[in-house]
Amino acid sequence: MSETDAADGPPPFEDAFASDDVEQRIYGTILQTRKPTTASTIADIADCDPKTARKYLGWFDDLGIVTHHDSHPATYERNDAYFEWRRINQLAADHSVEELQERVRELTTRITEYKATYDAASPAAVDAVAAAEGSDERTIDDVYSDLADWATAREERDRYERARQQRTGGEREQASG
Amino acid sequence: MVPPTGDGGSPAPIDRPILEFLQTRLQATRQVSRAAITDASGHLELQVVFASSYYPAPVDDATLTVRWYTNDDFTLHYREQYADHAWECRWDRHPNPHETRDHFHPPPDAPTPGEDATWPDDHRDVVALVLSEIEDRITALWSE
Repeated sequence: MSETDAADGPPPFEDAFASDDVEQRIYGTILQTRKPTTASTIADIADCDPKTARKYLGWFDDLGIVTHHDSHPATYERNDAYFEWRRINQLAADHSVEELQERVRELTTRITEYKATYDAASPAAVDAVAAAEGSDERTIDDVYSDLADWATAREERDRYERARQQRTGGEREQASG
Repeated sequence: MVPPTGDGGSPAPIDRPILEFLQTRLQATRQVSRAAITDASGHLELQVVFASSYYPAPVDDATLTVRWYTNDDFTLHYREQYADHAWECRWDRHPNPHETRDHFHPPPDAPTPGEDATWPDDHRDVVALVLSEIEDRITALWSE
């Protein structure tokens, strides 16, 4: 397939989400369901009927992807603990203890730099608007981006540290077993 | 020790599962040559590189970086690199003293402050909207 022979430009973009089936649409919706939400609301967003949504939500509940609240009507929300667990397992599988340790050190350095830059213990302690107005070189976008990166680095460091502990524990078990 | 996030009042970390979801979808389209989650630039983000065949020769490189946070704030930054300059714009949702929470930093250099705007809630709808704008931009580039 040649994409460059047309004088008037390339073919149109492919729709990135067009091939998602109903299960994938519900999964994508669940990712942003951060508060208890009814199956019918989730079905509306995922563009399917509530019965179908309930079926998949039940399955996602079994897998731990969603938390099911037994209210009337029943509600569902994304289970962050599942995604944390998945990520930490992935990190532990993909990296050596040394690599994980090195990454914890890098992230600690980055966090220390943010603390010094903003003279605060945590990103939540910084008023982004005030920090931008008090700075000549940093705009509100820079500050907001920094604070979010800082919050991200804190979470990432925690995940790498937990992956390191998981691996260290696993190796000890192997050595003693 | 970790204060609650997600109330919109305090900065929230990157939502990696959403970036992973978008990565899979974008990587599968013909207009994208590569989509990768990286923090090589100091930001954990999804870096999307558009296929060079979609661009006329003067464009060296075209990218979209996606940052989506766990409070559903976001920054989507589109950038075309030329030999001697860049053309860029940005779709943002975050607290801002100059504009509404939803705002757009227009091309050619995505300056601050931006313009008030309204974006959809769903991450897929936001990405689809941005891709549609980029597609319009590419059409304009070819007719120049």
